[in-house]
Amino acid sequence: MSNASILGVHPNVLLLFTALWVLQRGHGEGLLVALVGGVILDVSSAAPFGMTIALLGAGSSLAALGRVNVFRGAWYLKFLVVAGATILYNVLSVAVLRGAGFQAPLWPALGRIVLPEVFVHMLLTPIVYALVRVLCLRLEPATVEI
Amino acid sequence: MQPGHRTAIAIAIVLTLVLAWLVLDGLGVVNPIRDTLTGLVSPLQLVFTRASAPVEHVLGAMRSSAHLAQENEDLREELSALRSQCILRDEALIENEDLRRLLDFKSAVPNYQLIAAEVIGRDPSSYLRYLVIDRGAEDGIRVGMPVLTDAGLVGRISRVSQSASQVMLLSDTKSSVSAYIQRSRATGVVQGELDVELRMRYIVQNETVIVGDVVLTSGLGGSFPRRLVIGQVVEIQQNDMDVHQEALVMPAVDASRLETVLVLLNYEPDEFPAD
Repeated sequence: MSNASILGVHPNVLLLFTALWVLQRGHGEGLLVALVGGVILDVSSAAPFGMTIALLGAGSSLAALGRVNVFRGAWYLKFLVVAGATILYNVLSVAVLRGAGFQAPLWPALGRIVLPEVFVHMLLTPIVYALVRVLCLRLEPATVEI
Repeated sequence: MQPGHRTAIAIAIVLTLVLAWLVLDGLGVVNPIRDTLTGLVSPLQLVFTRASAPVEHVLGAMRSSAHLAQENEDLREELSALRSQCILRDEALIENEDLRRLLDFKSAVPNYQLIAAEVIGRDPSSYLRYLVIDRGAEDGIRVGMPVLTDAGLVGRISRVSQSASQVMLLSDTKSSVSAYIQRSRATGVVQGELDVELRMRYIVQNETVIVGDVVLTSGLGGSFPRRLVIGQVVEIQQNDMDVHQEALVMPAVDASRLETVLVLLNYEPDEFPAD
């Protein structure tokens, strides 16, 4: 997954999926997705074990704010949530890596990694959101209230 | 006359007529009668044949449709299987080509004890450049061992488990390799960046560096053997006020496409801190 690139950017599909899942199904399930996906990614990473789980957890918490505001029904909310989660994930990522002794410069990363990633994530949002909705409908079919 | 006798007489008459007809037919006497009858009947036969052809066609199609559907299904399955086989064959050819190149390289450097490893994972972080390979401690892999391909240096082993290892690529920001430029023998240190290119630092100002220069490992510091290809200079960054100049180096190995690598087993690197 990490090897696939769009416009030279490796999209963080798991973050995208987690944030949109939280918008659709709530924070609890989002944390579960973060935990399972994070463990899988952490195993193959040189970063401190648990970093991805924690960062995805943070991203899903930010996404959860999207469910408790007056703009909840707005079409652009998912884009805002995805952009916010991507920025938060990357800033925390740099902070944790620097804390663990890795050389992860923030300002070069902002231009070379964070902003292109935000752009690509925004492009992918409608596709991943459609996938999340289909999965949600399959898990819990919509009911008609009389 | 009793009914039994009548029947016997009828049969005898019919048999006699048939025999007579056969004898006359043998002599060619009945041919004109046959021709006349054929001339009368054949238009009717033609009409019936033409009228029955579409019906026969439809009936035939109905009879064979079930068979055709089954045959179609079988052919589809066969086609699908053949496509899969083609893809697998193409993959095997590519893998074969890769392994052949690595084998040629292995033969070209007989003093290197190399072991081939398959790339089974990549670091998911955008800030780290690591690979995971399918060889570990049980294959004799140890931390610090150089990893290369026939094209040049890839990186070094940074963590080892029983059956897999992690490789820190040259492009990781933690990576640092002593190097020299082949043409001018100017030395420096090649370090990883977040970009695609590597940066060669600490090249003294009075050395001439030109685009296209080949950069090799110098062996200084004991991390890597001497003369492994790192890459080619693509840009020079020079400022007269600085003590050193820098060069951007395009790695000889495109790590994003790597599928198989070689680990150099018989090289004892100096102390390299494991992650």
